Amino acid sequence: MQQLSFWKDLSRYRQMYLLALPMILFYLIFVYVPMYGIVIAFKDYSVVQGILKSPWAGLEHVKAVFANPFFQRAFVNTLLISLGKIIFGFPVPVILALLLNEVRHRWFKGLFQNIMFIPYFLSWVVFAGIIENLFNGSGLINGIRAGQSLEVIPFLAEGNWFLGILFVSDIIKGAGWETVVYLAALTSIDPHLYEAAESDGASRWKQTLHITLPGIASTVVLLLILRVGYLMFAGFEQVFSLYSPIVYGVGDILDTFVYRMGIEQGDYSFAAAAGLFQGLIGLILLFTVNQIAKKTGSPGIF
Amino acid sequence: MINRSPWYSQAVLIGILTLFMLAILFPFYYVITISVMPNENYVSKAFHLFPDGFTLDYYKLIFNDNRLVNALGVSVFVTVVGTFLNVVVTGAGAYVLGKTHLRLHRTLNLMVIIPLLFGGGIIPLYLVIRALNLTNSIWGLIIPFLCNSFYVILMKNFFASLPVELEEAAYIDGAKEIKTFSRIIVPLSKPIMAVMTLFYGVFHWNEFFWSGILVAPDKYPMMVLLRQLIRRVDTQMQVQLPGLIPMSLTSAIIIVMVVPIILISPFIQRFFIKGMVVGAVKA
Repeated sequence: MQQLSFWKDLSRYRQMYLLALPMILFYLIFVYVPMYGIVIAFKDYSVVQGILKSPWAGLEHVKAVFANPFFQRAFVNTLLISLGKIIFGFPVPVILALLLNEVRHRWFKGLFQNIMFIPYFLSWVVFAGIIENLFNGSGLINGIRAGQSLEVIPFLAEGNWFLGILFVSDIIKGAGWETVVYLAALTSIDPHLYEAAESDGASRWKQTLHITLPGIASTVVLLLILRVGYLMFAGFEQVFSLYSPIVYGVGDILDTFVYRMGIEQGDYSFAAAAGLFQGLIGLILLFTVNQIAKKTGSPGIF
Repeated sequence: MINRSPWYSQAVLIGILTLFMLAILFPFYYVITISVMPNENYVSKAFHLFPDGFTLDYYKLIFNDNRLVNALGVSVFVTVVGTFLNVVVTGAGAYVLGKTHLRLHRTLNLMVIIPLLFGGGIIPLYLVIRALNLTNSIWGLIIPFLCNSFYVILMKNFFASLPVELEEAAYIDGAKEIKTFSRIIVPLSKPIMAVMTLFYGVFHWNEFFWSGILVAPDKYPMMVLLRQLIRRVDTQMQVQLPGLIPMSLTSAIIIVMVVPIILISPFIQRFFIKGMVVGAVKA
């Protein structure tokens, strides 16, 4: 179709653009103005002067960010927590989906899916409350231990326990959702494949290995590249709900670091520089992972 | 399937999966237990597997204490009004994104996709919201969160699956775009509208980070208050409600905030199973 000139297009399709206008305004004001606002990373932002009029500071804040040991710590923690979640958490829904696929009782499948699915939609605040109930100094676990005269375990105040709580609660919250995604992928496998394998004498295990797994492989790859692509985002709401200064050593991630430096301490330029670094690495990761996935024959995410 | 696995392997399977289910269910059972037993009984013993006594006082308190009622009201308002605006703005915008004959078609689609790949972080957004004087107004919890790119794309994909003939017929009858959208497209889009209502609704109901930094304490939604109670950063609350140990009250609030989510989750799941969301992960 011949394209109209800009103004003719606008006037011919003004009703279309009118429909999209609220969304366009939203994106301009709350996505692209803030994206421009990143320039404060290269300025000495002052509340009085605002984004535009604050004086330029060059790379001063960027250098300060890189030299900051707490930033370096947050960067390392972000990577470790994200990787830990992938290593411990990623296989769980795959295994659950494969197990559930072998269950013959339909009612059980339905029940399991319904219950597994709920935690994903609950707030991390709710989870934090439940975790406190169970694991804090006077919680259920330590209550039972106290009854047996065992010492109190500082689940939320000791680094390794804290990481364990992060990994396990992430699985409890997210595994059901991903299991349902895999189950949806499983339904697209042609049942004839199984029948053919049967008649060739393949065992259930062999069928799982050669039909079921390849059948969901593309979904597995898709969810894996999404996870690796968002490696820089280790779960802000989760950590923010659960951490405390005692566990900053292992638990402070880039998001929480940016929040504290910017919103709590008011060092906006420094925090914006740290946030910019996080966003850029995230962008590079997404592109890299997507390219690698495409090389291996996956359609990729974009 | 012909080659049936023996009964004992079924039993093992169901056993493993049931354990996983219990790991999810037990914590909720425990929270309910704490929320319905008198606080003095709760603190008298180290742990309880069953409620020791029974009371609904903490639930009554949620609906009687001014500050808690107010917070629940804010949560409901932001969820209802916010979600309505989310669905309207997202729906109308997503519809236009699918119109390839528009000159700005590519630009508009890029505009929506870019934020999925790169964001400036929370600081610039916070400064913009503050510069617009949206802080300290309940609208500050709604307007800056009108569209989510992932959901915009989901809706766009849904509209793309509708037959074009209906729209063409409407145009031939002389209907304009807005009328075509509201009379033809919207009635056909009830399933996606339902999904969007659930997703955006869950977002608003659960949101606590931005709510906690954007508005003054008298406009806090319940999630922010709950977080403060859990983290015991709020001394004001304890002064206001003397003699209460937060654990019983927070447990009751947790249950009140969880019940709506449990009620809607089967509906969300139904749409998931249909593969709607899975197919739309790819932008």
